[in-house]
Formats: sequence, structure tokens, C-alpha cells
Amino acid sequence: MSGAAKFDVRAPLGALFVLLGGIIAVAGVMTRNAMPTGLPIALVWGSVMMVFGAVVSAMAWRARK
Amino acid sequence: MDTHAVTSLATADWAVMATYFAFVLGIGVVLRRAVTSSDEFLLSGRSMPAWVSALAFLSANLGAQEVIGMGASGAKYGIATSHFYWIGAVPAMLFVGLFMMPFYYGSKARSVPEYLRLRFDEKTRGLNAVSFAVMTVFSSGISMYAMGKLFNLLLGWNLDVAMLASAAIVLAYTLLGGLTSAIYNEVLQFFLIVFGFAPLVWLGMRDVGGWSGLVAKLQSVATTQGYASDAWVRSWHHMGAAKDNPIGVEWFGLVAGLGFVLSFGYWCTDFLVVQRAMAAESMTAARRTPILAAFPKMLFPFLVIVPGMLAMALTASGGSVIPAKMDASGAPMVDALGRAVLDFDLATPALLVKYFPSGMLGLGLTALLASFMSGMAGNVTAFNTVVTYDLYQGYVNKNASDKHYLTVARITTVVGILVSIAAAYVAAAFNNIMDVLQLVFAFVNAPLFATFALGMFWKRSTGHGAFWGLVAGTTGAAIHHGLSLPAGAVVGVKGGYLGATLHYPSELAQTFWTAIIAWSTCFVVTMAISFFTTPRPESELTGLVMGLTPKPNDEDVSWWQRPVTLAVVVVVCLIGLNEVFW
Repeated sequence: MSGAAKFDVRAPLGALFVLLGGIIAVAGVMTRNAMPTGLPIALVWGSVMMVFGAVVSAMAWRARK
Repeated sequence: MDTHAVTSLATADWAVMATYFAFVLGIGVVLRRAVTSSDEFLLSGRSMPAWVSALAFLSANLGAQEVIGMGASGAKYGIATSHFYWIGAVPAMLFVGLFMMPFYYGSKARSVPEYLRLRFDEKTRGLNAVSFAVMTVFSSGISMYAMGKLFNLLLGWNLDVAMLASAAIVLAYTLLGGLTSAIYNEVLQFFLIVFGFAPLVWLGMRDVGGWSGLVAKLQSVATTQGYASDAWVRSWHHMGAAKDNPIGVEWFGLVAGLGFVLSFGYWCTDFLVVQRAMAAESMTAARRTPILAAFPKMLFPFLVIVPGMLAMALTASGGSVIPAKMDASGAPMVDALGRAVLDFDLATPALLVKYFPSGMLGLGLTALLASFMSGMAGNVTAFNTVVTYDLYQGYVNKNASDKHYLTVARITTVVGILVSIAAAYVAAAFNNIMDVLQLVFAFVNAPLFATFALGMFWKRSTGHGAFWGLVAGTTGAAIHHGLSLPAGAVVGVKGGYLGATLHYPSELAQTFWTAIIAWSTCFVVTMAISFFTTPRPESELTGLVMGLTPKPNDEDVSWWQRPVTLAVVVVVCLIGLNEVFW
């Protein structure tokens, strides 16, 4: 990226998904029994989002080195 | 109003929403320091890697109309709605990347209207710049109103607060970080949509018993409306005649009207999307932008159309997912046969509310809000560029300092938002005015691709030809529309105001044929006038027209990353998808 003061968009993207995934996973644990489909979807999906966020953050971190 | 809200939010939902908006504004704040010139503010300093500009290219178009409208069409028409992607977007995206980007990016034009000035003349640029600027702010306003209305219905939010708050957020981040900020937020929004809607499809599919369960449940939807039982789950099979498919269009109108004229007219000439590719870091990156975007675009039907189909299937089998449309007094509307008229625009949101537990509901609704806002931001960042460079620098003050233009660009951003808000209120107060405006925009847009195709691929075409071709194409569209009427419509904004002599089976069929007429008229008139007027000398057209421009060299990336290779892969996948859902 040539713009002197610009940053890698992967940094906020990764951080955002780790945070959002965390909120959703915690909400999933707290309301475990309230799921109509019998699947802990919020816990599962929150975790998936956190993993995605972590991978993107790792890519941003590697690119900076 | 508030007591009628469909659902309410839990703490976790609010936390998701607040986190997202903190990031959106944070990006603007951090990028503020990078904005030192009008070039940085309006064009991102041409510094985006291809994958970033590709996701922005996709997201800028992924506004309200798409997520909500495609869900609604999925419920109304079934999988055939995917034609809007597989025929109506992907081929044009490949074309603009492979064949047109060398001229847009290579000419160093800062906007699409500026390309028209370089290639043709001042009046053609002026016509395009003015119509584009007016269109973008009104689209942004219409989108803002649609968002306010939806969140009022879903969550009981106050319409004014919803519209003004979203406008304030968009203003904040576009004013701070300019186009870069808009593009970065479009990248976040892309992933938010994917992660917000994928589990919806997953849960819905589990519920209906997979694709075969969906197919079985949609049979009665088709047969009760008088179509073949597989009309909702096959994309091409029933396209032979307009009366056989719920879209009400035959294959030629679909391919020529949607697949060629409208699709190429939008993806290849609309500055809103082209601007994202022009912000790419190199010619190869600019060409790869729309082609990389075609990969997710191809798969979007599964994310945005399938939820509508699922909602319809569940409603048909007694699940009453899609609510009935309410009339002004708040009573459910019924059709001539006494059946409830469904509010298809609520198909996707209603499914979100049905399946998502707290936390995830916040994610799904934030994804919707984000798509509304990035649509708005996309319009505003295109508007300020065209107004600053094409209208202000072009006609008001030609030789000011860059600092001056940066200030103008910032003021224009505020003006763009203010006019959008005004347009939103006009849309709220007078629905008809908006219908008329959108009709006029359609007339103005339809012939555009003929002008660009002749400009880029025929060096003999002239400025007089281009200008009068556009005027004639728009007039042709208006005349055709005035002489035709879709089934079930009354004379007025739907057509027939010049005497309804042509009858179409559906409004879409009429729209597609209006576009075909507009394009053909523009093409013929531009060619005819070009033959009688003096073309510009070839030396002035280098970099602007094929044959006078060196072929782009993509050797800076390895063979499998080159535009041509990627485009071939997309075409193969596209043929496969059409075959599977034929």
C-alpha cells in the first residue's frame, strides 16, 4: 500500500470478528436452553467467527513484519 | 407505531451493533491523517490491493435493494431470481475487467464522466455528470427511507431517528476518511453479510429438509398460482414463454434486456462501482477487481435469494413466516380471491427473527444496517467525486489549488448527505414522485453502454454522435415506455401515457424491452451521426480507444492470478451453476 499513513484493513477486520464472535458465543452459553432448533447455534457460530477473526489478524500481523 | 414492532433486541444484540459502529467510526478517525489531498480523499490515492477493491466493488452495490429485494424476489419468483446474478451481473463484471478497465484506469481519468470528456467532448461529460450526480443522491435517499421504514417495522425504531442517525454515521466516516474509509467499511460489511446470512440459510435448510425438502415444499406455491410444480426451483426450464414462469419474461428479453443492456449499462459504466476498481493500486489490480468480485457474486444467490425461498416454503406449509401486507389503516390486505397479500420485503428479515437467538439476531440486523449504510456511503463518495472534479472543477473553478478542491470535496460530502436526507423525506411523503424519478433514471441509464462500447471500441465515433445518441436513446426509452403497459397495470407511471398499444406480460418484461429499445436507438444514432461528423485525430485518442492503446501487460502477477485466467475459471463455474439449476 503506497498511502503513507494508511493501515491494513485486515487489522480492524480481524479484531472486529474476534470481538463479535466472542459476544455471540458468550450470549450462546448464557441462553443455551432457549434455542428452538436444539442446536447451540450462537455458541458454534460465535466460535467460527472468532477463529476467522484470529486467522485474519494473524495475516495482518505477518504482513506487517 | 412502537407497539407493533415485530421483535425486540437483547443486550447481546445491542453489544454487537455498538461494537460494529465503534469500528466503523474508528476506521474513519484513524484514516483521517491519511487524507492530505483531494486525490487521497476522492480516489484513495489509487493504492488499494485487488482483493480490497474487489470486495468494495461488490459491497458498494450490495445495498438495501439487493439484500431485501433479492429475498423478496426469491419468495416471489424462486431460484430464477439468480438470473439477476448469473446473467445480469457476472458476464458484465468480467467484461469490464477484461476489456474496459484498460481504458478507464489507463486514461488516468478520475471519474467515468471525465473519461467521456477525454474520449468525446465537454457536453457528453456534462450530461453524464449531471444525471449521475442527481441519481446518486436520490438513490441514497430512497435507500435511507427504505432502511428507516424496515427498522421501524421490525424494532419499532422512530423513523426520523433511524434515518438521521444512519446519515450522521455515514457522514462521519466518509468525511473523515474519504473513499478509503468507505472502501474499508465496505470490506467489513461484506464479511458481516456473509457471516450474518450464512447461518440463516443453514438453519432454514435444516428445517425444510435440505434442497429436496425445499423443492417439495415449493411445489404447492407454484401450482396454486397456475405454474408447473417445479417453476420455483428451475432457473431456465420455464423461460421459453413469459406465461410459464413467475417472472413473466421470455428468454430473449431476459438475456438481451437484463443480461446485456441493463447489466452492462450498470456494471461497466456506473461510476459508483467503477470508482472502486479505479482506486486499485495498479492496472492489473484494477482489471482483477471486478473479476475477483465475480467469484463471491456468483455464490450470492445462495446467501440472499435462498432465504426468501425458504421463507416462502415455510409460509406455504403453514408456518406463516412472511407476514401479510398491511394497508394504511393497519388491516391485512387481501387479493381478489380473498387470499392475504404477503409482504415479500419482510421475507428475509422475518426469517432472521424466526431463527436467530439473541446475539445472532444483532449480527443479522447489523449486517442489514451495514448494507444500507455502505450503499449510502457508496453513493455519497461517488457523488462528491463527480461534483468536485466534473462539475466544480469542470465548470466553476478550473485552476484552483488542490487544497481548495479538497475543501470543496468535503463540503460536497456534507451537501450530498443533506440532499439524501431531503430525498428520503420526499420519498416518505410522495411515493409517486420517487416512482417517476426512478423511471427517468432508468431512461437515462439504459442507453449508456452503447455510448461507452462505441467510444472504447470504435475510434470513428464522435462527441456529437455520443451526445445525441444518448439523448435519442433516453427519448426512445420514454416513447417505448409511454406506448406500452404491463399486464394488470393502469395508465400512468407504469406506462401507456402515449397510448397503450404494446402489452407486456409483466413489468420486468416491459423494463427489459424498454432497455433494449433505448440501447439500440443510442447505438444506431451514435453511429449515424458519427459518420457525418469529424472524428478526433488518432493521436488524441491514445489510451482511450482499442487499437490505439497498448495491450495491458499482466506480467507483474503469476499466470494463475491474471485477469484472463480468473475470468475463464469464473465462466466455467457459471456454466456449471446454470446447468445444475437449469
